[in-house]
Amino acid sequence: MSTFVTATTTQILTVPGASPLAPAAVVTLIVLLVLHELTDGLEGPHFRQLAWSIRAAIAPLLIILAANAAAKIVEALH
Amino acid sequence: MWRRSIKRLHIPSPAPILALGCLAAITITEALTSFGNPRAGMALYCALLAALVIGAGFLRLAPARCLLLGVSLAPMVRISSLALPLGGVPPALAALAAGIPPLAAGAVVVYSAGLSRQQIGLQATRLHREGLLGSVGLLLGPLLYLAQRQPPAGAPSLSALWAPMLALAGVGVIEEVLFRGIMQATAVQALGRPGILLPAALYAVLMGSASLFVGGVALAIGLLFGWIVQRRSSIVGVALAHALLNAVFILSSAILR
Repeated sequence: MSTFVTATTTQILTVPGASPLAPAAVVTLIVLLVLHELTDGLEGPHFRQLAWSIRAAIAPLLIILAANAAAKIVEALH
Repeated sequence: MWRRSIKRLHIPSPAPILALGCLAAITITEALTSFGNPRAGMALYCALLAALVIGAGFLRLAPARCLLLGVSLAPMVRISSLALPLGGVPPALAALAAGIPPLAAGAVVVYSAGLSRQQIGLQATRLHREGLLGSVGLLLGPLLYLAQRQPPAGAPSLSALWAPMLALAGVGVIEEVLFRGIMQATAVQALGRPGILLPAALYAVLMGSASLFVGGVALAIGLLFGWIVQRRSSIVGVALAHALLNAVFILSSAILR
């Protein structure tokens, strides 16, 4: 029993290689990275707080991006 | 005088409304992903994740801010399982791999919300009691398999069982750290004792797309584990129970099919 991969997600992800749903995650990552860069340089505890909150989403999305990039490279090599 | 009367004004916490709103939004998005359009569901999950972390950044009240950060782990779980390149990977290993990004998110949430190791239950004072509690999983695993009477997708044969058993045991531990550890700690901080309801409900929503029975069992287990964690201030026992439950469930599916 797992929340990570349910019967539904197994049905969606049938094709080996990069996930067809990864682009949405990459777009979100870009938006959050831009917002992070805009707020991280600003002075004040509130901006620091906002930057740290955004990092909670950036870190896992970077892992997802790296995994999909690796899958694309493997695909291209084959 | 004005200041005194303003101080007496009771301003209700936004946390319960935020919690209910998040639960409703995640339920709708999960339903859309599972039964409607997965691409639209994924886009909505991404928007929800961004809204939660940005909203948390703007909130001044620390408990409400931590609540949103904790809840953001739920969309992260589904985004991870849909956006990672897991096609063709055996289901148990895919589940373990999909748990890594949410775990990274959890680590940042713990740091950002200033949660201590004790607050997320990463402590055990009486290990033998935690072990005894963990053994409940040995009983629950076969019971759930018999109740469901349906082998999980890609149930392995007996000879190739160790890797899936270990992977799913790891998945159980990661889920407990995320839901009963981090998410419950932030929810209880913001909502008090009723806070154990939120991670249990979110866990059931994410599990329940398979069937109502699975969702109901997940809700019952989530509430039981949440109550135990709240009483014992430790997730060690329930993490062990969940790990054993998953491992014995997959073992049962190989033996009893």
